[in-house]
Amino acid sequence: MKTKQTIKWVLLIAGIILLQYLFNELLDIKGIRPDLFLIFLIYLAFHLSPTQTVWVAFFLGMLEDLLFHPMVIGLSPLLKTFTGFILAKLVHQSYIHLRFFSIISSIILIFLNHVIFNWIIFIDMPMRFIEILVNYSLPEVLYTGGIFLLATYFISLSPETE
Amino acid sequence: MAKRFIDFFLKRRFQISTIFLLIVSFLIFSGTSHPAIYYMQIWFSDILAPLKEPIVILKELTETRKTNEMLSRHLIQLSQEAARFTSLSEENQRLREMLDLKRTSSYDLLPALVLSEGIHKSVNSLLLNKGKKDSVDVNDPVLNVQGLVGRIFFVGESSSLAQLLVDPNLRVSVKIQPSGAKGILQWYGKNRFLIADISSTLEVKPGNLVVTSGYSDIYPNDLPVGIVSELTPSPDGFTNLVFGDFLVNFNQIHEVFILLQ
Repeated sequence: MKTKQTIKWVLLIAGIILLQYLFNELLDIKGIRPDLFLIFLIYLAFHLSPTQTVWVAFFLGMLEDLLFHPMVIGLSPLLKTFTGFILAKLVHQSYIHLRFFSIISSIILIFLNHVIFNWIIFIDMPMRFIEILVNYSLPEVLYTGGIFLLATYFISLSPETE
Repeated sequence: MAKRFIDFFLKRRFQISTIFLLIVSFLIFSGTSHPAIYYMQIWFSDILAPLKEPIVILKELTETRKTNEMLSRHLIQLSQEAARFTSLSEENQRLREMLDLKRTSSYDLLPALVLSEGIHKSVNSLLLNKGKKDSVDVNDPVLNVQGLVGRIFFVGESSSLAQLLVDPNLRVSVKIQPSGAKGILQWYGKNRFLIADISSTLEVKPGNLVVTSGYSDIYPNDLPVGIVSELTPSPDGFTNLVFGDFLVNFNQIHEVFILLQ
């Protein structure tokens, strides 16, 4: 039974990696692409144990940087591990068992992820924070958040383990 | 003692794992540019590229009509200019012979398909489907029909990684035509660039063309880069900050040319 579960998760992770890698440019709207890894991480947080969540978050972040932006390798695992930690804490300490709160918390985490990522990338550039927010972070948050909201109709956001 | 340690570890495995993984991520991030990292991306791409190429080509086909229209327009403009250049070239040749100068070397243009552009718009690199076996080398300039796109940053056997002009870490030595004012260009967000320290005595106007200066070992001279859009005096009063727009639309790069040097 446990092996079956493990195989299911490994296949799901492999599937999401292939989906993001193969169809990344097809999902492009004016240069903005959704972060499917982040949506998947939120889903995982509700279905895995806290420890499993942070390890998978780190693994997904590493893969994201390796496949898409090796120039800043380490940044995605850093942010995703932290996101995984917060999510796992919220989910497994009964803070967000209500569907509404789980969605709101997830959207806030998506927002923080994109804002911090872009802020770190532009840290050395003569650009104002508001410009980074409006031109880069918000469009990404809207796209990723939109897909996440759509996905919540099909995926369960109720804790399963521990 | 050991049992207590194991108990503590098991009880706190979530927190310990998180701290450990955050430290590892931070260490990797702060010591980034190891070639092994780029090898791993190229290795992944060599495995997955055969799966991705048909999808990219399919997307290309849907945009071919638009590209075709644009190229036809370019072609008409270029054929008009070509006629003018033919006579200029003959005159140039004659004058060069008189001065006993060698012809400037020509470059091979290798077409390449963009396999991947990344998830975040702020991190700008392209994964191309040409590598060492196609004679691609590090620092080869990357262009498209609109102008300079960037340079080859890392090369694998059958794919390579290009760093774009819209990368916070890339600088290019450029000159502004027709004044010939020279400076270092850097990205300034979206499709804009900034050239600092341009002497205010030089006549630079919005609409002037910015091209590569040829002073670096990477880019040959006169590759079109952008158009000046705005000038702002520097706080010192002696120089100007020149802002402009790149000629290349970095949101829509599907096919590029690698300039083999």
